[in-house]
Amino acid sequence: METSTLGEFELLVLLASLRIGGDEAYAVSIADEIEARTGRHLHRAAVYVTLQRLEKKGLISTRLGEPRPERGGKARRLVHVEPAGRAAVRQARHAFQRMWVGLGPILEPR
Amino acid sequence: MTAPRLARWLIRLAAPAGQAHELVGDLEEVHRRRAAGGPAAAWCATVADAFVIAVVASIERLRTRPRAATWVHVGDLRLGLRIMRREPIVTVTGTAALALGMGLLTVAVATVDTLLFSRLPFEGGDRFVLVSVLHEVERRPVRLTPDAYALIAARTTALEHLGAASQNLQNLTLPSGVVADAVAAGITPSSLRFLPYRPVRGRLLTSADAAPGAAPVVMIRDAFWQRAFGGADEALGATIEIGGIPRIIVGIMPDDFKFPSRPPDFWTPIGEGFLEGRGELPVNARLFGILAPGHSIESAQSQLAALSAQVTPVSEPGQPARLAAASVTDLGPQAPVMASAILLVAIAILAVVAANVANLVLARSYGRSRELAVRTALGASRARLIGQITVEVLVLCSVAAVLGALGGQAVLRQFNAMDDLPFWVDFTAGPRTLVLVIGGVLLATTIAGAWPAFRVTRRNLAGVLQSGGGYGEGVRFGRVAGASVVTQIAVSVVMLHGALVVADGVAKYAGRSLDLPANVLTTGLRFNTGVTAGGSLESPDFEQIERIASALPGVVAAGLTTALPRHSPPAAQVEVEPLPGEPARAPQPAPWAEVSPGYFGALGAHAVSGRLFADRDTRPNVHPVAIVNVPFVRTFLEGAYPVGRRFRTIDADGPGAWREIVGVVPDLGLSVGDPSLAAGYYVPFDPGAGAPRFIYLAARVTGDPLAHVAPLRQAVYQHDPTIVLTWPQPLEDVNGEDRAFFLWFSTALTGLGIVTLILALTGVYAMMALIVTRRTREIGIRIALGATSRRVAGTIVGRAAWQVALGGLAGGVLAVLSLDLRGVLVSRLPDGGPWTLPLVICLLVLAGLAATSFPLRRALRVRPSDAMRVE
Repeated sequence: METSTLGEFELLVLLASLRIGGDEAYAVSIADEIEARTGRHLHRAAVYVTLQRLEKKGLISTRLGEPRPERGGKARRLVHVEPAGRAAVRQARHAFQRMWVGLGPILEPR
Repeated sequence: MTAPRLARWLIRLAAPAGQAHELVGDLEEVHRRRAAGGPAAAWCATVADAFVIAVVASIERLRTRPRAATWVHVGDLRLGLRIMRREPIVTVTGTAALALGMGLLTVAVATVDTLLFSRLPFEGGDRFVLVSVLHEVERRPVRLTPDAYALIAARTTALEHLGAASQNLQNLTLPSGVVADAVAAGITPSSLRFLPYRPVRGRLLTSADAAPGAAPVVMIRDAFWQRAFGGADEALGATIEIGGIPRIIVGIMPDDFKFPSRPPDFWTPIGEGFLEGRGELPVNARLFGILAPGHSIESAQSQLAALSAQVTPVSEPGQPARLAAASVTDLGPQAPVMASAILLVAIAILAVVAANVANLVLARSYGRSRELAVRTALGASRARLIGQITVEVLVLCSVAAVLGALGGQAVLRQFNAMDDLPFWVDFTAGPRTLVLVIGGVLLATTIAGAWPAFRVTRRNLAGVLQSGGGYGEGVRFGRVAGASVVTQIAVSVVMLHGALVVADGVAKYAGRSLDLPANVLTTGLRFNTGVTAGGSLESPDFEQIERIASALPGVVAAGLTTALPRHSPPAAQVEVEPLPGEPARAPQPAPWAEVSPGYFGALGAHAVSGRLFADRDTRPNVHPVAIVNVPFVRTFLEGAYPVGRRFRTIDADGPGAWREIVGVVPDLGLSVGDPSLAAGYYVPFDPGAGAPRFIYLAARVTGDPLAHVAPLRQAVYQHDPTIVLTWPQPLEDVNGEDRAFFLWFSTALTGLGIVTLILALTGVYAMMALIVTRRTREIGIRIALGATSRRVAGTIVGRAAWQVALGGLAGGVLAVLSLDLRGVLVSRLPDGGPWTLPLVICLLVLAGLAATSFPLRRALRVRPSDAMRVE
């Protein structure tokens, strides 16, 4: 099966969604996860747009969760990584690994 | 804790369909976290957050929107043209109004373009810089001592060259011996090397030609060569007399050489000694410089400013002068302000016109509800329908733009035909004009097309079909449309009223009979002091000129004045000395003029009371006297016997000397047009007052006044060749240009007012027609139930009548208020008569009746049986 090519930020969003898991992955938690793990500041607007694109590509699907347990609490849009999404992540990992081979001596500090 | 309302609103505005709720939820969650750091900081951060999300989401939406081709079709253009043909009222009214707006925009943009971006139209023209030499405080031009010019030339390294140029009217003796006036220019010969023009015959002027003692020479322009010499080669080397000095023609310049301002007929050399501290700069010559490579106007300006303290005006020894550099084509600091104002007014007028057309389009689009509903049922999206209506209006706007641009070009041609325009001024619509007119088309299309399209497609069009509703079912003219109709009626009342006031003023100004003899020749007398070899500043012998004119065959009487009839000279504040026991009166304005003893005779005027001026009144140190006109006696003396009474003028320096009234003359049109300034007075001509005044000669002649121009010119030339007769014309033509301008202005304003009124009333008509159709069933039922025609008519006309009344009232108030503003543009026109506003209101009522009568007749003819079939 042919999988889509992923952009760097798309890959990060997919990885964060997989890490967080099905019932907890939504825009805010994904943004927090990426910030926590990469130390990189990002804006949530970028996450929304990326999720929209990934959904259009069929790599993820979204559904509305339960309303938040508070007064006026609104439902979250939860993210589920589809098999195509997992395949795309795998393919990206293989590509990276193959590209990594032999670069250790160059990249490692002496 | 909820997120700030502004943030939620931003998210809802821009979020993808169906996702706003969750995004706001996320926003609130993050906001709660932030609240721990302080509410104000959290508020700012969340609003900023929401703003970024809204912007990014909007960009994404735009990026992924369906391609324009899916909602704008070429077929819509054909449909637009078909609909224009099918609905002639909308087409003609809308196109005429928009064309006027577009024409105005074209003229405004081209004018602004000329005001702000004119450049000298030759290679290196942008290096030419005007060097102003001004009085430090009064900012009037002054002349410097010769060594000052040498200092400027030596120290201003930002200028590669310093030169001088002059331009004026001079007398010229043609080879036939006839004396004519010609546009004369002077130039420092060394400046010619910076002007990329070469003679078609002969040679350029050289510095040697300008040296003291050199033979006087001249270069003539090709057109003048053809006119005066028929293009004969013998012209080179021939002698012509200019201002009394015989000069040899050494070169013929091409017609496109027009430096320094108005296209001159010839150029004489200006001596360059002043640049080395020798000799004087002619009185009317202006300095200019050529920027050195790598230098800008700013660097020249700063060098000149630094020199200001070291140079001295020749008239005020010891005082500094003010030196400044500016582009030759620079019109001063007011130009950008004026340009912006012109542009804004034109855009505002176009927007108002487009808003008017929007109403028509709205009514028409509601009338097409069925068609739009069918298209929706067949799968057309809302964007597609909006696109269709907008393209139809785009067609209308484009046709109007073409017509408007053509009309604008015609007006610009008139501008270009004006006399006295500098050669670099070209009122031609260029690429910038084209771009802005296209912008105007888009603006008008958005207002007149997109807005009604959004409005009409906002309704549930499918519901129109489901309910079986007919034409206009479920339609309401909203508050915006209603306000637009009221506004346009108000605007049209203001415009029509303004037009009538101006037209009335023009009639009073231009058409007023002054009861003066028809056979009076008038001419300005221009003194070219300072441009002759001597450069004399002495006053010419005015009395001798009057005597020469009077002695000419066919001249009955001649006299001099500083203001001819219809010239409307400035008014002075006049206070009349009260008689013993009378209370003092407040000073009032009264225009005045200096006149020689022969002036009243030249106008065929006799003293109504007292006497006219005599020679003794003009002698120095005599008792000041004045002659007043009949309105003066009425206004200042309440009809009392005036001779022997005294008055004085009051200015900023305080009251002047008392003047005794020695006579009264009829109203000779000292200030025509403004009845409040009809009262005026004359004082004896002061021959020693110096040259820089406008002096006019009036001569009553036998036969055609213009037949006496040549002999008069010849006689005056023989007396003093430096005196030039300017604008010789019959008395009845004095200020003809002003009158023509007022007539044009009034016609244009009337046209605009009438078009706006028609547009407004077409809007009323469209609204009424739609209301009648929409309420056909209701009207039928009411008639079946026994309602009288009057009641039915009242219901139908009610809203339109309110709109017309409200618009008329607002327009009336604005019209009265705007009379004060009128003074800014046409200060010399009088107030309109009391009939103008009632006339406009009557016109409005009549037009309103006409606009409502047809739909009303249709409403009253509704038969109940027909009405029931509508559903």
